[in-house]
Amino acid sequence: MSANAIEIRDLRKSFGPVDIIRGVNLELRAGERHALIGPNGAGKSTLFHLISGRLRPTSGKILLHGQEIQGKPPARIVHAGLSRSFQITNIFPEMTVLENLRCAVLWKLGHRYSVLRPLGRLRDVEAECTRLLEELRLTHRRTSRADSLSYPEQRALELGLAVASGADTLLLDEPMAGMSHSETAAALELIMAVTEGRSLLMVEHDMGVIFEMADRISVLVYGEVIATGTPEEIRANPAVQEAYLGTPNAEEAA
Amino acid sequence: MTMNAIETARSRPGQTLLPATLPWAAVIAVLFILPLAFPGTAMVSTLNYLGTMAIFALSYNVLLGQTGLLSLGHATFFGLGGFIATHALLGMAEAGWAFPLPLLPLIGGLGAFVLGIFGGWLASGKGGMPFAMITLGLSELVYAAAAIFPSIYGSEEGVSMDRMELGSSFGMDYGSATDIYVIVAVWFVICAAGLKYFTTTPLGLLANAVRDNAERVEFLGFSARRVRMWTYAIAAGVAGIAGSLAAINFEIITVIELGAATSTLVLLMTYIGGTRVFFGPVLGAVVIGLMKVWLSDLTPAWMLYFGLLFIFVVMVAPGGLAGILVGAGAMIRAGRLGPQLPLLAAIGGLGLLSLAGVIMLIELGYRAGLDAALGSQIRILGLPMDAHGLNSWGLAALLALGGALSIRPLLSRLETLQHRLGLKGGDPA
Amino acid sequence: MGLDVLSFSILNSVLYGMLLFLLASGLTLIFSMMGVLNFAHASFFMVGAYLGYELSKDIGFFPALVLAPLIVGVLGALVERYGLRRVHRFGHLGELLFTFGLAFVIEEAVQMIWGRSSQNFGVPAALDFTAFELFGTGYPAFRVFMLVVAVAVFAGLWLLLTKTRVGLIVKASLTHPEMVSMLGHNVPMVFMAVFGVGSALAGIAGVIAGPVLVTQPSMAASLGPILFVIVVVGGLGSLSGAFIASLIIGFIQTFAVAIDLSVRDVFGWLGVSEAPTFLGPVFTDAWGVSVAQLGPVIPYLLLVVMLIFRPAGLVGKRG
Repeated sequence: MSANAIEIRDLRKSFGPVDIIRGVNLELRAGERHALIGPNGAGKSTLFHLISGRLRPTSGKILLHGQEIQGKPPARIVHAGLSRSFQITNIFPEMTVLENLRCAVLWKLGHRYSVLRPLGRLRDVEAECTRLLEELRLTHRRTSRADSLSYPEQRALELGLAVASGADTLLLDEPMAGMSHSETAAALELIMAVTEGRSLLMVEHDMGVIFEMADRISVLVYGEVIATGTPEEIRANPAVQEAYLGTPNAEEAA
Repeated sequence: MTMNAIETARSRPGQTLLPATLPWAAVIAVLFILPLAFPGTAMVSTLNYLGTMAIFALSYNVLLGQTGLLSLGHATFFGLGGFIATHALLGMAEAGWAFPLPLLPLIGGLGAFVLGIFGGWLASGKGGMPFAMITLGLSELVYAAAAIFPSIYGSEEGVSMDRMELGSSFGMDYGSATDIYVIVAVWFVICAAGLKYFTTTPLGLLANAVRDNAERVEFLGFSARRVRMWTYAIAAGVAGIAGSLAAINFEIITVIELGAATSTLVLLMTYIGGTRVFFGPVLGAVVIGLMKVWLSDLTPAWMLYFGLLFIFVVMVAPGGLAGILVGAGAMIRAGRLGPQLPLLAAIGGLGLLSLAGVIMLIELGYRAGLDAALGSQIRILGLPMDAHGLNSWGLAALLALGGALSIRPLLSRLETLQHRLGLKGGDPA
Repeated sequence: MGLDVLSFSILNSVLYGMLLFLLASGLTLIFSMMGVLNFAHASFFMVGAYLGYELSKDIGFFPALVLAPLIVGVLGALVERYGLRRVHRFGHLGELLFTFGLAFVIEEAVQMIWGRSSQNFGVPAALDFTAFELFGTGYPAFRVFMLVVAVAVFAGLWLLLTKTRVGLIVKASLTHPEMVSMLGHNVPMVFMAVFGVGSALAGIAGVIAGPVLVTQPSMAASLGPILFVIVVVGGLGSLSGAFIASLIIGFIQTFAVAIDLSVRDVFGWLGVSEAPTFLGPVFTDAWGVSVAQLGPVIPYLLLVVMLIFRPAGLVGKRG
């Protein structure tokens, strides 16, 4: 197995005449927490859609543990060990929290499309869901409908669906978007806990959060990665300061 | 606490007062009592028809309620199941095989299930509009093919059979409607229990997930297409059982059974009954089935009433009749019905007045138009009226419009009251 | 097939195709603006035919040709305002089911008023003559008139869509659904207008088709599915796609009736004159299948094949 969880080589995506991703090269090392930053419209979400199979790349390669996954359907990519969360909450609104999580653990526990036994009798599913509920701090909401949860709770469930599928590589698309300061702190703690021991690629805007949690940072500008490095390196990189942060002291300004 | 919270609280294991088996005991008890309460061949035949349609509607709800798929051609499998069962019976009778008649729906159901896998494979690439259109196209294809293959579908008058030809079994000779009732009742319990069980399985849960958010299902490692395909096949198989029972009950099957009218009927039954409560479609099948049997004797306008009821449910109560009942039940248990009762009674009374007006208008309309040959004098709801008389039309219009208009301020008051009681809107507790 | 039959079939195909497009264009406009595939569209067509018949008895055909579509248009606008808009909050399924129920109710109401049998809606005397002769066979003036009306309506519609502000936005929303939000606070008003105009187009089609097709309560139910075939095969939301598909269906349905050919004939050319009986009765059935019998099946075959292999349709961009 390769030391890199994800390896992206010269990835391109164009919509008609418009090039959104213009030759991205990126490595997500196994076990690292890697943040992807960049201004609005840089192509961060598009890049996530390409990796997770929602969109097909125009050209280039995406390797997951050395195995090519570009252009494969999302389900196959999940089977290969990569799952993701969404920027806009993407859960099952009319089902309970427990049912949401049950759906997410069915594949990894091998029950798949089974009709052989009722869910209530599948002890492994119940045990795993109980553990997840505990971890996500949603135990008291297990029989609530997902659309009746508060916003931070919905974000926790969104994260839970991604984590529950058992993939060792996770893409989190702005998991803390739209949260207040205190909610962000709690969410960050939760993310750090549930992604323990997995490789994590995460889009985030909050610089404070990024510098606190990321092992490495990549900067995406106009469809290209202009720099990758540790938080300190990125902070000191003049190209990043110019292209993304705008002024040398943007962090203080933001 | 919202309505949703009330609903989900009901399914919390260990907190419900009634054990899960109790409703089933009630169902079986009712099935025992029904033929005793309504004896006579005509009545029992009606019960057989209702039971058949109830199974059919339950199967349709696997698609509509459970998986969120609008099929416009579900009757295809009802009809094909009926034809398969009929040809199986004719073939076995000719060959002199001793096959017990009550097991015949198994053949029709299996045949429809296999065809359903194929149809599902074609139809389930996408949900929503493309699914509706493919099912429409497939059912029109099968229907049109009927004219081409008279040796399978019979000519205009269909394929008939004699259900006694397979001989006696289980101590019955199947000559009487009551014998058929036993078959229908047993199959109803089997199908209902089977479909209820299906909702508790992983695939049943995934069907709900596909309904709520098909895309996310893919990102959990599943193929939404396969979920749709299998639910489609299961719905088709159960519809095939219902179609076989219909063929056995009427001893004839025609192409009408697999046409658009039958597909429409099952859609209306299921939706009016309620798609989000398991037995909702049964309620719809019984109500609409009875309307079809009884109302068609009373008035030429029964189809119109049927359509208006459907529009009413779509516009006012998308949870269907069962949704209304469950909502009311939850309110009673929460002790919140009391304060609303006076308003609800007033709305109900005015609604009845308005309904009486609408009925008068429709009946007068039929007497003035389609049934003008019967003369203009007619008794409507006990009142002598005249389809050419201004007074009759005036009274009808006054009731219909006056009732509807005076309800509106009451409805907004009811809404305010429900807000205050915390039943609607607002943030969840 | 002789040259005379061929040329008349082509004429009739184009005519039928144009008639279908009168209906499909309204359906497409409504779909692209509101996202609703209107099941009651063919019902408005039928109401147009019946109103045309009823009004032409009193005020003559030509005034009826103006008045009946106007009434149908107002009816459509009212349906949008007091029906569709209310169920909008229940999502697309609610809207779909509402129009489905409406189609059901309209068919029953038409039967209530006019009865179950067909109406004697004849060609108006002023147009009851032979327009021209081709190969010794006359072509009726009314059919030429239908063609002229259809073309005139399209010209008017085009002007509306290219010369007015609202029209431009409506046209833009065909390809860019997000354009609808550019309408700002006028959205409900425009929805109502589009639904009304779409219904009125169906009404016009009803009045001019009534005398040629049969004016009967089943005319909506038999035409409705064909309209869906057209808008789906053409590509949902595409006017040009709907136009092409309308013509294709027009040709298929016209020529299927005109071509006198069966499986038996085809095998006859190969020197096989009798169905091999050992293959069973189903093959004997298939032996007798004629092109005329297949005619009604082909559109649905086209629909299913199209949705499976090219779900966006011929011209459509929305998958």
